[in-house]
Amino acid sequence: MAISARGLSKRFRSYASNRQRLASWLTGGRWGDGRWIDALAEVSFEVRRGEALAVVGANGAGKSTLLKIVARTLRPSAGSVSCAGRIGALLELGMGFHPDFTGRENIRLNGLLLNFSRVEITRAEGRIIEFSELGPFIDQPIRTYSTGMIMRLGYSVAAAVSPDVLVIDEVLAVGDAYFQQKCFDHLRRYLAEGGTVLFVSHDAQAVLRICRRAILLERGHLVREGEPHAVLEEYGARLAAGGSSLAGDGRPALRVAVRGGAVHSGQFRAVIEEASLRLPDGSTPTVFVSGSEAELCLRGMVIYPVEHLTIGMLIRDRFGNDVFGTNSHLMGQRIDLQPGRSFHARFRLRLDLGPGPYSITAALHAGDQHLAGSYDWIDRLASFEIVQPADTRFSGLVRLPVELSVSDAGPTEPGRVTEMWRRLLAAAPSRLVAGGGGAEFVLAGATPVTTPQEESCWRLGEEAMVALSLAGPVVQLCCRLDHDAVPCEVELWAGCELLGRRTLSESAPKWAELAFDVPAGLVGLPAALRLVTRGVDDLADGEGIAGILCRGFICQA
Amino acid sequence: MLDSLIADRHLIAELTRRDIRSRYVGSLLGSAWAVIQPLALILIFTVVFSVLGRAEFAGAVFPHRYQYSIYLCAGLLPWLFVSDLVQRGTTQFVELANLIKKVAFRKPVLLWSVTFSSAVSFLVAFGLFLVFLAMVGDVRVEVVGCYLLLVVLMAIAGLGKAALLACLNVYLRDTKQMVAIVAQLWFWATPLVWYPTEQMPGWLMQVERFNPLYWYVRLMQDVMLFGKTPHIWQWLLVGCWSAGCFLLGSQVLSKLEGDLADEL
Repeated sequence: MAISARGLSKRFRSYASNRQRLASWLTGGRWGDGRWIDALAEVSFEVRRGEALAVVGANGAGKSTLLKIVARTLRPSAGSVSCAGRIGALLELGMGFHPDFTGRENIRLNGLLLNFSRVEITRAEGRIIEFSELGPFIDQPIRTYSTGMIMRLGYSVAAAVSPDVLVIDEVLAVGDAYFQQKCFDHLRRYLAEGGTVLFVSHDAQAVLRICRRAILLERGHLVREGEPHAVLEEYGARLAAGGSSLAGDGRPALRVAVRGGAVHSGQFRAVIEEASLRLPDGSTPTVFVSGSEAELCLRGMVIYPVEHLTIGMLIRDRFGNDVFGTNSHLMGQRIDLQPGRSFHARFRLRLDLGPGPYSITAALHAGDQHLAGSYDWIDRLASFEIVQPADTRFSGLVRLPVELSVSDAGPTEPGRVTEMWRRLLAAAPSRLVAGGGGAEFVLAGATPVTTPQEESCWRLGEEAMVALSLAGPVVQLCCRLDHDAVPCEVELWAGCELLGRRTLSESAPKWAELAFDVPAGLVGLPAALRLVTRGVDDLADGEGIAGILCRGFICQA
Repeated sequence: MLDSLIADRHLIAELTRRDIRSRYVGSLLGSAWAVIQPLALILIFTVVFSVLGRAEFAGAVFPHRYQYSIYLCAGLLPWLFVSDLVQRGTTQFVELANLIKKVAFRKPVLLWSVTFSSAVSFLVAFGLFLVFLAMVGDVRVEVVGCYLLLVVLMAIAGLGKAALLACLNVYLRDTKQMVAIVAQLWFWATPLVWYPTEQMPGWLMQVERFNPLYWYVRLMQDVMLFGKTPHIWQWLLVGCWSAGCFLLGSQVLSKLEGDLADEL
């Protein structure tokens, strides 16, 4: 077991004021009205190696307290938790970064706080900066960072040092979509390599993307453990039931699991017995071809008098996203059914859905009040799968009606290439020196670094592109390799024209000065330098980063 | 607390560096303030007491013109060091609540780093003091050794108090204000800038006998002014007080360490 928690409880003593606290201390608890607050009560769970466990629950349910106990910043009042190996924790934002110090300095400090040796930190520093993609900001004080940038740095620190257990509290949400994706990819790889993740998020999609198991906390108690979608549904149902087992109108709502797994919640004045998805011929397959006509049939009965009965359905994808839902109220249909009557409802629809598994949720409620006046609400009453039609394949969530036509529009005039080229790279300077700004024209994750000889330069990835204005007759660049085992090709392009190619083989500590001649007719145009390293994969793991170090690119008049 | 000093030495070194830098970051004169501050204080007291107050005690007790300055520095520099350490140590946990709540680490590192960063300021001022001593007289190794040992003992006692007060400050934020006032009172109650003479009321010296900081300060002043090294029983006395303070502080801290985050 990577994490094993037994009977974890956490009680806080809360006082109305400091005076009350002092009174309580001095009198041994006889005076002063301290209230005990149970943030966690008897929570036990286990997480295996290679597994990700999600912790879900409403605000104040004890999720963060639980994570802090696992990360050992809080001590449990009772019970124990044991973690195998090193713990990396990403609790809220910032992880104790010091605002006045630069990103790089904070990496060092954080590494030391997380109990890493100086050698390990130095080795990880490059990886952290590269993963965070903060570029030149890494040497700026943290107070100038946006929350997204702080999260990037925090995640990179916690993850780059590959802990045995990674604890993440609700932080991925602040990153931009690109970095979130990067984090999820990293988490998946980390899990596949035997890492363990404890994950708190309100984002159901995030939970479903990485976790195979989840626990639900409610006011400090563990109320459900199981598959993420089941736990999330229960969480949703509890929210729908008002959290306090009362429907919104004050009448009690019940929650019961019937045999077969479906969970009903509501007042049960009217109930749904069965849902199915049929083809027009009446058959009920489980796999449908995208675009087929189908009927969603609901069978149920009215038990007690109901007001404005509304019959609704909802299709959700495998992540729990609402894909499509409607109901009789929205469709402008009035339903009059007396107690004791059964009903058959048919939604006829075309399944223009992307491939993947889907579930059907059905509901009966009063008017448009599907939370407050819920008679019956059943998640995952039935499920089906959509496959691509053999002739027209597509990607995405829905199948939109689409047609395509492409035609050859004749040859491109050279002027247009130049014009386009100029428009794209008009702002490129003719001189780019490491440490002097303009890094946005050095593409492919250029990281500013300092060599052991105190020279500032860029480290470029395996394949880099540099945009430069051709201000004069010669383009020069000063660069070298990390490893001479991996040579680098440097090419100068202007538009579609290859102006020259050189092979770079100098490695540390020698710097190579490469020069390209620029034909007179091209002076004034922007150009692109491509630097490609080959055979990086041949390097053994211990040999560090293989890349190109560059001090500058100059094309002078 | 001692185990953390060894196990977390790299972290302590980094935090100390950060603490020193953050004190002067953004100021024009930077780390020069570490020298200017004690220098200005010593200058003020020298002027106030040896020029204006000469008739009272300076002339009688200190026949030599530099002796009052030596007397003053001998007591004042370590005092500033330790009171700085105690006052900043007291607020450490509250100020770095953000760190304590998010990262699990041994809390004593925060106190050690304050101690070392205050010690650096002290050593800078002490270096100037030594230069001054060398100019007006001779500097003997055993005198400096004895003196520094006394300073270390006083700092250990101060660290113990800082640990105790830092914990208390987490629960009662008034502690910080009280410490500031008590530090002022204690400063004037201890013969640092004034000298105990025959004319002073007898009860005062009776009270001073129960002021542990007076023992340290008196021994420091004696060793610097007259080259008088402490007796073995004097070493024992201050040694026991330092050990007692340190043990009490580190015991309380290790007991409360895990619960601090609850209150921050």
